[in-house]
Amino acid sequence: MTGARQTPIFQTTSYVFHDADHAASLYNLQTFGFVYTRLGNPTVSALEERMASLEGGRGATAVSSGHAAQLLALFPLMEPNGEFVASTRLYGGSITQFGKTFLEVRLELPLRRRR
Amino acid sequence: MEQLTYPDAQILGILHSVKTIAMVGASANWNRPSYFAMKYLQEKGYRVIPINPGQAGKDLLGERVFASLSEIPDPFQMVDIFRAASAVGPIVNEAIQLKQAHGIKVIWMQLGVINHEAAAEAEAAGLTVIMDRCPKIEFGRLHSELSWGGFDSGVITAKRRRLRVA
Repeated sequence: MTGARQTPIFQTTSYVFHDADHAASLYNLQTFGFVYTRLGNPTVSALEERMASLEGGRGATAVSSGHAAQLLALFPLMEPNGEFVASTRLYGGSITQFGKTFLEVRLELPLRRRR
Repeated sequence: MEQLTYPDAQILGILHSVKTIAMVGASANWNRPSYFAMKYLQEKGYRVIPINPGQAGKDLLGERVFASLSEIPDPFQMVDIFRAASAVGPIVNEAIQLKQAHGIKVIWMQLGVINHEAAAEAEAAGLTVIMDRCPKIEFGRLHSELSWGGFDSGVITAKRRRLRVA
């Protein structure tokens, strides 16, 4: 225990693998651990676990922008010819992401007006 | 499915007292959960003896595979069952028979495996029973490794803790 009030910020991109077998175990999800900071980072996971605990969820995923969060949350739910319902009163960047970016990946997503 | 609850202290007590685990249904396929669990538990210092009739006599992660619990020549304190709930009964009966000779203390049924009848028989024979849990997940959860994946380990708290002074 350092007694530090704040969670430390781990400014690392990569993590040490003890040997090739350890690396393989990490990539195969056979053991718990960090692989690359874009996939997991101790500072981010501290936030994720606290969010999950506060919200009563099994787990949480934190990303560094709202657009990334929306993409991660919505992409698994989207399929061609599916319906995408969103309020027109959302933040403009979200409307643009739904109406332009998602359309550009050839998903047909008519925005419905709802008040 | 019903929710079974076990105190963290009980799970930790088991994981800290057991040294050798007989894993019934250990797979030789690297991307099967039993293979994951065996490899992980070995990494944490446990000896895991695989039981799989289809692989008997072969080696798996450095251990000889046996066809049944009764063929294991060494002591083991826990039986980890990676089989359907309907297949648990005979395994538990075998473990009860071998309890004294091998020093078996715990019957552990994997995630999704619940068999109350077999559990009652094991408990009546003096064995501790855990059902619908994975020792890999529980070890990781209680040692803060599950937290690395952003999962709620259930062990963090908002309560103020006293600073320990060495």
